[in-house]
Amino acid sequence: MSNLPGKDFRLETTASASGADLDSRLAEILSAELEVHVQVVNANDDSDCEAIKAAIKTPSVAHVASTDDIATIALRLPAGGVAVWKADVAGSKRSARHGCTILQLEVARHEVHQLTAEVDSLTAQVVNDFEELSLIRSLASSMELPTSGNQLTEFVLSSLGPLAEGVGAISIAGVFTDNQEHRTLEPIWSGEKLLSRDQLNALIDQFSDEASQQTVVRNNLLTGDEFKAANLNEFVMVQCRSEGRLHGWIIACNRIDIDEDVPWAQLGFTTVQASLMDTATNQLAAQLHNMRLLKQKEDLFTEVVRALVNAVEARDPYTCGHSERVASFGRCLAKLSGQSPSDVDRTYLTGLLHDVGKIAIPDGVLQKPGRLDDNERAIIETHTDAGWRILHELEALQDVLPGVLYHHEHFDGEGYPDGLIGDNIPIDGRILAVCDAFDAMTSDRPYRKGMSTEKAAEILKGGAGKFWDPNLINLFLSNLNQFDEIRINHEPREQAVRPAPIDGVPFVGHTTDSLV
Amino acid sequence: MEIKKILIAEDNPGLARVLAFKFKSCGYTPVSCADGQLAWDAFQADQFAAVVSDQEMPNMTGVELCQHVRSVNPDIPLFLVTGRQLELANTDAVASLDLSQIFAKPFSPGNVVKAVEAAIVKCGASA
Repeated sequence: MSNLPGKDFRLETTASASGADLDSRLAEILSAELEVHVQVVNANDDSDCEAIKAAIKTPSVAHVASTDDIATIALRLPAGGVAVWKADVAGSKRSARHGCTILQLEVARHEVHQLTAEVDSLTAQVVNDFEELSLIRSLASSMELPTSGNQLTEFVLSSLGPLAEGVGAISIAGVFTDNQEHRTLEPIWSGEKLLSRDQLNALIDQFSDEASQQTVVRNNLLTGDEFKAANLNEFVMVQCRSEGRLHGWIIACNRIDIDEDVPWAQLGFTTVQASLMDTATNQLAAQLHNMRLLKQKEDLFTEVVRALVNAVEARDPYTCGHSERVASFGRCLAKLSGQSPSDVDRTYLTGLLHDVGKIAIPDGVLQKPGRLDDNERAIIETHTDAGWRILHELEALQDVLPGVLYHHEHFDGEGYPDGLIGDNIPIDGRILAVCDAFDAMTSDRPYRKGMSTEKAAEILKGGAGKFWDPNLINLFLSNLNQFDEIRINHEPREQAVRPAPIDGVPFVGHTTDSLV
Repeated sequence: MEIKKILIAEDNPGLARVLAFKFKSCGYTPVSCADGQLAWDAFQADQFAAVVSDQEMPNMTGVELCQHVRSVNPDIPLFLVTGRQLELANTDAVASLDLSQIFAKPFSPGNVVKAVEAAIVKCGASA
C-alpha cells in the first residue's frame, strides 16, 4: 500500500464539539489499550489510504492495508472520525481484531452511560410529577369549607402551606381585598414574613395589571431594576379571582435552592411552578366564592325566618315578642335536656316559627279579648296545620315542621291536631308546649295582667304528665331562675322605621354595589 | 418528497426522549440534539420540517438557535418548549423570530405534536 497521509492527518473539529470529543476519547482509549499511537482522521476528507477508504465504507470492522513490513489499520468511530494506527504486518490482524473489540466495548459502555443518564432524568421527572399530582390531590381533597368567616385565615393557610412545599417557595403570601375590593387586608404568610405589608402593597400596585392578564414570574430581582426589596430575589404572583370578583393575590416569594446537580436543572421559578400556583389559586378562588355563597344563603335563610315572624306579629301585635321568648326558652330547655348544638338551634328556630299558622286565623278570633267559644276555639286550633301548610314547601325548614305541627299536643293524648301520646310527640313539640304555656301565663295581655312566675310554676307542676312531659317539667322547674331571667331580660325588637324619600327620591332597599 | 424530520433541541435527556417518542409515534422522524450548537450543526447538515427547541441549553440557547435558523430559512416553523415561557412572552426577540408558539413546561406532548403538525401543513400550503 502507498500514499499514507502520515503527518497530514487533521483532527476533525468542525462537525460537533461533543462528537469530536467522543471520537478523540475513544482514540485515547485505543491508544492506551493497544500501546500504539492512534490518530483520528475526518471521514469526510478524501484519503488515498485503502484502509481508511474501506473503514469509511464499511464501519464496525477494522481494515488493514500493508506496505512491506508495516501495516496501517483503520477503524470507523461512532461520531464520524476514523481511528488510524500502525502495526507490524505479522501482528496486524490481531491488533485490528483487538482494536475492534475494544471499540465495541467502549461504545457499548458509552451508550449504557447515556441511557443511565436518561433513565435518571426520566425518574426525576416521574418523581416530580408524583409530587405535583399528590399536591393537587391534597389541595382538592382538603376542600372542606369553613363554617364561619372567621376561619378564613386558617382555611387559606391550609392550602398555602402545601403549595409552598410543592413549588419550593420559601414563603407564600396571600393578600386579600376587603368586601368592596377597595383595600387589602393584613397579608397571610405560609411561613416567614419576607416583606412588610407596605412592600407587598407596592409589589401588587406595580404588577396587578400584568397579573390580571397572566401569571407574573420574575427571577433575579437583585440584578434587575424592576422592583427593589432587599429580601426578594424572585417571585410568582397570581391573581385570585372567581365569578367576576377579585379576592386578592397569591405571591410565592424566593425559591428554595435546589440541591439537584443535573445540568438541566433550572434556577428560580419557571412555568412549572407558575402553573401549580395557578391551579391552586383557582381552587382557592372557587372556595372563597363558595364560602361567600354559603354565607349569603345563611343570611337569606335568617332573613326569611325574620320576615315570617314579622308577618305573624303584624297580624297579632299583642303577641309581640312571644315568638322570640318561646324560642329562647326552648333553646334553654333543649340545652338543659342534653341535646346536641344543632338540635338546640333547630328548637330555637322552631320556637320562632311555632305560631306562623296564626297568619291564617281571622282577626275576629285571633284578636278577640276574653274567652273563645267552642266554634272559635276550633278555628284557632287550625293554626298548627296552617303553620305546616305555610312552611312545608321550604326544604330548608323541614326540620321545624314537627315542632310547628305538634306544640299543642298533650302528654296524655288529649291535645291537637293528632292526639299523640307521650314520647310519640316530637321532642320540639314537647319542649315548646312547656315554653309556650309558661310565656302565655306570665306575659301581660290587654285584658289581663300576666301571673307571677311562682304561680305559673305551680300550674306547670300540676299539669306534668297530663299536659306536659314530666321530665321536661322537672328540668324546667329546677332551673326556673334561668327561664325567669330570660323572660325579664327579653327586649322585644323595635319595629323598623322606613326611611322617607329624600328630595322626592325613594330610598328603600340596598344600593346595587353592596349586593356583591 | 415530504420532509418528516423534526429537529428537537433539549438538554434534558428525559424530556428529549418523551418528545422524540411522541413525534415518532405520530409518523415523524425526530432528531434529538443535546444542546443548541449540536442542533445548529444538525440543521445545516439536513432538511427539517420544523424545529422544537428548549430555551436554556449549554453552548447555545433556544432563541440563539432560532436566530441562526431564521437567518437561513425564513419559513420553517419554530417552536420553543421552555420553563421560561412567561418571561420570554414579553420579549421582542420572540416576535422578531416569528415563532409559531412557545410551550410552557410541563407540556402536553400531544398538543406539541398537534401544533407542529398544523404549522407544517400551513407552511406547506403557503409555500
